[in-house]
Amino acid sequence: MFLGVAAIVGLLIHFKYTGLLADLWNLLAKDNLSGKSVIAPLGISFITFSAISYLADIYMGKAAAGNLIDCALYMTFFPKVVSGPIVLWRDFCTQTRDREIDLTHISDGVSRIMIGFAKKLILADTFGACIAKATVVDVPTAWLVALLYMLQIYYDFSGYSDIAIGLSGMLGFSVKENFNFPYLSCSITEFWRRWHISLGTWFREYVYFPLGGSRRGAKRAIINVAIVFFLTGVWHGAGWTYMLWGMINGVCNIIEKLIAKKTWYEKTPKFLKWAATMVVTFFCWELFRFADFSACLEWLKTMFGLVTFPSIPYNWQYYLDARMITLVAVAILGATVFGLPKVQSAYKWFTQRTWGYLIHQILLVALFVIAILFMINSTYSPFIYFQY
Amino acid sequence: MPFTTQIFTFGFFPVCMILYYLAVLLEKIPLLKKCRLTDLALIGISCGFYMWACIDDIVGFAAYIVLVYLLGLAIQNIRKKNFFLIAQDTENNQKNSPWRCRFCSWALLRLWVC
Repeated sequence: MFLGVAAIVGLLIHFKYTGLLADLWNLLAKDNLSGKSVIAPLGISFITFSAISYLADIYMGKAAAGNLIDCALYMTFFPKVVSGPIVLWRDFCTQTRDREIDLTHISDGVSRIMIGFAKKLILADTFGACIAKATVVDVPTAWLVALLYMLQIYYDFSGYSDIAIGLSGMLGFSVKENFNFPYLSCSITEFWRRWHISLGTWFREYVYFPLGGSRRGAKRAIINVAIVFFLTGVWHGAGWTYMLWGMINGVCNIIEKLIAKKTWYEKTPKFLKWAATMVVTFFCWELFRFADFSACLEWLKTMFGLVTFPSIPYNWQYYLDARMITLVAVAILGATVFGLPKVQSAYKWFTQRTWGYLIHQILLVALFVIAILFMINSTYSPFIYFQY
Repeated sequence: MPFTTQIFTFGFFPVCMILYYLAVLLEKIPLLKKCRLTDLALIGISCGFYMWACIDDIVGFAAYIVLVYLLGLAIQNIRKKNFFLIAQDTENNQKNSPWRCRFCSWALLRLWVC
């Protein structure tokens, strides 16, 4: 098992982390080693995690090894192969032989795909195009762009996940949810239970629990959390900014574990906890956005007015037109208010009625048509998570 | 191929669904039931999807899948505490393990020793 995982992880390191390791070596040994840049195969991180899940589940006795068709189907399954959600072998193996394809699954799948298209093409791509345009900016625009990125990354990846889940459903496969309104979280710990759930589940099952989880005392639990978040950062990219991003999240998680039972923390209003979580997340995404520290630092300086440009092509009013205000408002409400339990139960009540279901479907089709129009007219459409 | 492109939406997706549901229908014929047509169709479609983005990587990806499959069999074999006994080809193990498991374990052991 360990040899197998080492071989698979070795391949991932070869393709993705040679440059980073060479940098690290040069830093420590004051050497001048050049990390050969190798073009990584598409979706290598997700493929590696699927392979490890396959081997680990067999090793742990959670699932039996499949035959070559089962294994190939699991590894190549196109809705998830490039950008997830990461499906565990134990969840997938039962569906290789026994899956249901009926009209309910197909219509649910189609609805889900339409939602995904709307999220990605109407919201994420519009925000992405605006972010790409804004390079030399004034202070308000710098803050606006940071907010747009926070919304873009959510709608981009959750839209992609919606399409992947919908496609899987149409093919008779059941794939677990990948997002659960992360911007409603009142702590970083909660945020990671709601954001990229499949990645969190993977790390919990194959790293955190095998390391002992929280069963070996508080100190060991903290070390384990630190390891998991460090690996989460490294997994996202071979860059120091990703590492720092993972470590900040890890430190916040550990601090929350330490203060969780303090009276003052328990008495703190939920709104303040939510606001603090969103502030941390907001600045963490800025680290995530840039490949190197200097660019990130420059942007942060611009946000706080420490850098001013002699001439700025467009000010914030140019970017924040009526269309953008509407989309930002819709995006913020969709990512927060729509996820509130009362709103969700009202939504369920509405869609369970025949007339409500019909209105819902008509709205979805309308959104899908608009999304297609956006797709035809737009040139910007890369998925952010494709690079991982 | 990103999902939100015209080539996926108007080309790949409809073709994929037609092929898949055709395979589902064909699988209902008793003679074809054991062929796992839907799975094979899905693997073919998935390879096509992957190849669209990086045709050069498909051979490597196929080799990778075979490696993972062999490793999986070997691990399952180890779990059954048969690994080294199988390598020695004892009679007892011949009765207990399927031939492919024995072969894969033997091949991996040989590779490891080399």
